[in-house]
Amino acid sequence: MPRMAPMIDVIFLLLIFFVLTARFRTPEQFLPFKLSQADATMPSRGLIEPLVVRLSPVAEGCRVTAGSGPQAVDLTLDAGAGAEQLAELAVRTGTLLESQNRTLTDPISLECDDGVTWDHLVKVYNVLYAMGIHDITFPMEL
Amino acid sequence: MRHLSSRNGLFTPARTGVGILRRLGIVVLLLAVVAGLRAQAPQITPEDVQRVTDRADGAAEDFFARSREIRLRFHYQDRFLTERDREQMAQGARSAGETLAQAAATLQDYCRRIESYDGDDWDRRFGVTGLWRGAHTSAERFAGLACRVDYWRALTLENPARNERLADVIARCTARADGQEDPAACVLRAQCLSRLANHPTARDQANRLLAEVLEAYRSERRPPDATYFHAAITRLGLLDRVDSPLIREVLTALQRTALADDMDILLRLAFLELRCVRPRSDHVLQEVLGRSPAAGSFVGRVVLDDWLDRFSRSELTGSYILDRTPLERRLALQQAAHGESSDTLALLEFLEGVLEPPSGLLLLAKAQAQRDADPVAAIMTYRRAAQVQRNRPDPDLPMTPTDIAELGARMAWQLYLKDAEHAATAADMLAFYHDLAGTEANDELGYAYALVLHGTGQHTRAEGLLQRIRARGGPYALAAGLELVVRRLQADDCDAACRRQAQKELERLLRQPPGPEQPQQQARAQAVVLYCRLVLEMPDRPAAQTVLDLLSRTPGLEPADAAVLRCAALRTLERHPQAAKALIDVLDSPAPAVSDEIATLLTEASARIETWREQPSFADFLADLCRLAEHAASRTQEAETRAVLRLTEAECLALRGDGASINRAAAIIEDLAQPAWTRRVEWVRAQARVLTARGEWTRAAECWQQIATALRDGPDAWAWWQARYWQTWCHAQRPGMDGETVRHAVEVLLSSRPDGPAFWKTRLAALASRP
Repeated sequence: MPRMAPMIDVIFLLLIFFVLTARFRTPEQFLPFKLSQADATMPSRGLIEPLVVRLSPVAEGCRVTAGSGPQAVDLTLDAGAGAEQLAELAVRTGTLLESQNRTLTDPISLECDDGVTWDHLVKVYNVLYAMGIHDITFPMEL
Repeated sequence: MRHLSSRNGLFTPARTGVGILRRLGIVVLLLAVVAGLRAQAPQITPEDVQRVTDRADGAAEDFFARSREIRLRFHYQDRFLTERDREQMAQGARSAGETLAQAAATLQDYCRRIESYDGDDWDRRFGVTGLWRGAHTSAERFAGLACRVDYWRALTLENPARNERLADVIARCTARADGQEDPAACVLRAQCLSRLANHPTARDQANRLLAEVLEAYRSERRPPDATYFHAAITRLGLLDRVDSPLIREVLTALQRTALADDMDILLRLAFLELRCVRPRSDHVLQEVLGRSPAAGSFVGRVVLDDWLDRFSRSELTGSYILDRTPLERRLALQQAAHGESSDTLALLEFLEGVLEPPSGLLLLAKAQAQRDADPVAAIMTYRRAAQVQRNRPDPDLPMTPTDIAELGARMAWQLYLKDAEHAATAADMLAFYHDLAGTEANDELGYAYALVLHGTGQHTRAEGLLQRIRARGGPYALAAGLELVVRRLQADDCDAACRRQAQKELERLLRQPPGPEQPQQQARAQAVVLYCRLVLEMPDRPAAQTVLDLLSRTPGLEPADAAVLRCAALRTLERHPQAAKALIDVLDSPAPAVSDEIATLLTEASARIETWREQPSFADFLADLCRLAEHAASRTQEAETRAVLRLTEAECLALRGDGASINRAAAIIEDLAQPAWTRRVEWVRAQARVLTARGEWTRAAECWQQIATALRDGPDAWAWWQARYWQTWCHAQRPGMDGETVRHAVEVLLSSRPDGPAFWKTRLAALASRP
């Protein structure tokens, strides 16, 4: 009859090793937007001119522009896009919306040039969403 | 009611007064009827006679007037010179002869009826009124005229029909004579007799008759009249041989009378002399031409027709031509040189071989005959004619070598205009003319020569020539100046400065008052068109106004050119409705510039159609645009251009707003609903217009949004604002849409895009302020 005790020791040792060395991934997050139903009617769709927020890749990170005139937003987010930069983005976007008589229910069109990182897009989106703007669209070429 | 009975009948004995009276009345009535029947006068009025007389006189006058030339031509060779002459004479004589014979018969019938009447009022009715005498005289006169007409009809016939007809005329003349034949009838009878074939004594009888007529004039000391001279000429024609003195004797007698200028008699005598006197003499013909030079053309045509007729029957020989007098030959060639017909060419080539060396006149005639059939050969022949006339002047040709060369040069210019391949030939002929004419050269041909030189690549010589013409200041000075400007503009190295310089030069030319000559007016019109085109190259409002003023001051412009320039200027002034009207006037012009201008106008007008919406004539404007678009689409060959024009038409139809127009617009859109088109802005905009006109607000708004999305950030800001305005407007029309949402949308739009066109911003603001 084989000796079971050493084998159980080894198995426990391996179990302890794996338990201690394992790293658990945080769960994947999803952008909180909804697609309209196929039979849904949006009677006022397109009536209000959307504010276009454009994201362009630059050497330092990502350039965010929106609107025109003195209240226009023109910020560069560095690679990390820290909280300060995102806060400034939120403030300036708020000022722009105000200057254009927009409300938080008015649409925003988020346009990304080629080369913009997903990280920057999500951060900008989150900032806008956090401001209470929920009508955010991405233009698509059909 | 009282019934008649046999006791009250006619034949019952008269027993009462009433019965007696009744019988007497009936008897009187019967007597009156019998008397009336017996005294019935012929119902012939002076108007009846006059009507018949007028008709017959008209027919006779018409015949003798129309056949005058043919009768004179007949006397040249004692035959009809052409088959056409014969047919015309036969036709005219048949018609006139029948009318005259019928009139004579009618009048004779009137006379018989008048003569058979024996009423007491005969004299009152037919005597003192002159009715019988007039009818009788006219009947006789028309019978005589019918004989004369029938004589000419007989000459158109061949024997034996001719003999029969002549015998009939002789018989009628004889019957009419009744012992007192008038001289004219005698002469006619003699003429008929002289032409009777196979009759042994006819000519002798004719001769005797004519001798009697002439003797009667002498014995009765009657002054010679036309009949006398016709008798004398006919009698001379009967002689086997006529000597010049006899002809001169008649001519001298004629010259002593009032008939000295009677061309009919003179020409008949002249032709008799040419025909019968040997050696051939043209003394009388010279006399005729001395009195009436215009008769030369007629005689020349007669001689030429004789030659052509013989030539067509291969009966013309060199000896026959040489046997004609120089005067006859000259007149015939002069007539041929008028160049009225090209059927003389073969004859003239034959004459060129006979009349060696050919004279300038003959070569000129040949060149004229070659004009239509072979222009290049004609130009060469003109040149030869001019050279011959220079080296060996022909006294019969009243033209200088330069005049002849000018004819050739003009023809060369026309040939070059028709076909530039003949540039070398034209240049040679024009150079020859210029060498010959020297300083006297015609300015028009100088200008033509310069253009031909350009065509052959000799630009330096051409410009030198044009500058000389311009400096001389003649009728072609303006055209020469214009040509110099055009050449400068056409040069490869002509930049903006060069074009400005050309514009200034044109301004200078147009400041000079033009002369009344047609070339100057034409050149001015061309200069105005060119100047306007240059001005409109940099369109601004003052320039457009200048163009309009200039066009209105310049008469004689080509309508299509003027309309295109006017339209372009009006477009610049944003007066598109008037511009459309200007093009409607020249819609059928095939000029490409018109089609181009229509397309430009439609593009501009349809893009900014709302600009004129408030004008009272907007409905007319839309109708004009529809018409222009439909016309342009039907003319163009390119499928894409046609489709764009049809979509423009659909837009305008939809804007008209009536049901029929909207349906037509929808049909056009449906017709073009293919994948290649449904994604294009033009198609979507037409669709949006139709949906808007039909009140389908949601779908219309989607179409306008589709356009706005396509045009966002594009170069055409106006079209984007137009789409956004109509999108908002369509939303505003939807039931349940609250005004606050619209106001907010407009507010956001205007504040987010402050640099939009004032027109749309104002309209959006007005839309937002609606309750």
